[in-house]
Amino acid sequence: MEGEGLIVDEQVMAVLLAVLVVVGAFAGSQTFFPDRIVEPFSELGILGPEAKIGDYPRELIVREPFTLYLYVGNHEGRVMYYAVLVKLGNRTTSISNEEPMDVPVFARYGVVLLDGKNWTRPVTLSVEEPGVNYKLVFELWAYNEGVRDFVYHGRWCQLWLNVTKPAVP
Amino acid sequence: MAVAKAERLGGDVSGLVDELNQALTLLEEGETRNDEAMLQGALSKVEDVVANAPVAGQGGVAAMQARKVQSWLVIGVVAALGVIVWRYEPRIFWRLWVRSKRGWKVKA
Repeated sequence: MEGEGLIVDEQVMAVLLAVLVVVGAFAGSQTFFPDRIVEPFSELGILGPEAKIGDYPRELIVREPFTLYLYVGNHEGRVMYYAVLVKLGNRTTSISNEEPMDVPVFARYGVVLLDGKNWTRPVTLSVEEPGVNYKLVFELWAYNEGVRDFVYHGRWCQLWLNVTKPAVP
Repeated sequence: MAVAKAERLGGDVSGLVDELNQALTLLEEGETRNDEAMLQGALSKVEDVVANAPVAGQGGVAAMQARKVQSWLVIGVVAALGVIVWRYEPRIFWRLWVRSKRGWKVKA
């Protein structure tokens, strides 16, 4: 009977030790790598005049100011210096996650964000020339320490606009 | 970027980031209004951030070392507990078991 008791004790010991090793390894890894990011990403969003998704302007008059809200979120696991570039294109100008739109910058907004933080700010814009199917594009760029310049981050949003001349009285 | 380096060293850069964003706001407003004073203010804030970033970085290095010492202590304590349990647990367990069943009577 004594031998049987000893076997049970050793099994209990083994289980206890295994639990302790697992707990120790987990505690150690959490201490050494507390902020490990599995899949880093950044967010870019455009909100309407009420800071909500919707009610985006579609028909505008030349030089008519309109307000939108920019939203940028940082989940890259490190501090990031972002720039949102606003560009005005048309149906033929293209943009993708790899290539930014090849037109002049219309407006530019910068922000430095800690990991896990986001930023929302109103921007008021206006278009100087009348036109149909304008593509108002917001591109997210991020400062790259290696090249010491901003690099296109592959995130973009767009709004379609028709801009007409003001009515002549 | 001095702030990024300070952050990599484990420093608390939230104050520096706030100051940088204030500088960006000043820069934007200064460019819009063509206000030289605002632009100078922005530049001054950026210089402050660059000057203070190494201090934040050094604080981060110290904090990181403290965390490492703490983690090694935790690992040491867990290992010591393992050895103690391995060596003394059966004796302690059965002693407690016998003590808890002290009042039991065996029925023949």
